[in-house]
Amino acid sequence: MSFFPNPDAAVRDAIYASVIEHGAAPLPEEIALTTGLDREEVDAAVRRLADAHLIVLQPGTTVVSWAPPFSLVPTPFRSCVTGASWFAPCAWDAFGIFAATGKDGSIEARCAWSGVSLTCGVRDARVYGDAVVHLLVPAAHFWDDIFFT
Amino acid sequence: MTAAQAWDLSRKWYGNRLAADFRRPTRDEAQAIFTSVGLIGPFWEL
Repeated sequence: MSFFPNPDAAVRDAIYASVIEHGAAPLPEEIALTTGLDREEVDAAVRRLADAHLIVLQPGTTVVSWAPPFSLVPTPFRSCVTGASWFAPCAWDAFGIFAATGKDGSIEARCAWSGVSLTCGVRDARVYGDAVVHLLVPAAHFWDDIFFT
Repeated sequence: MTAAQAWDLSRKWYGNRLAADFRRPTRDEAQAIFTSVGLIGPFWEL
């Protein structure tokens, strides 16, 4: 039994703090050290966060793949700010990184059809560039197979 | 969606993602966010 009033929030905070500071998701053992929770409590919290669609795990594990809008594994979408960059699960999330961090920056991505490098991002909290974001899966089914979406 | 829509959507969807009291939008709240940035029609129905 946890002595923490909200172990899910503690685990979530530990994940995002690591993503922001190190650009990487902490391993479950590291989350346990950071939060003071035991390993079973961490695993349970991570699974609840995934079930709530707040994070996405590597299939069959409690290792975090995505803490939206951040991806902890390389993707075709990279959001760059001064002094840091993060991968994003999709083009929407690439903009989401600027929104979450409150920073301006540029997106490194290529047109999925032509392969041409795209120029877009956020400057002075305003979007620039004329990229168009195509989604293949209707909103009601985003989470049916989130890796495909 | 256009880049401008993606940015507007991102600000509303992710603007408070790092806040300690963040909670995921309810279905109705999510639908309202989509509508507010012009993402309407069957594709965006939750």
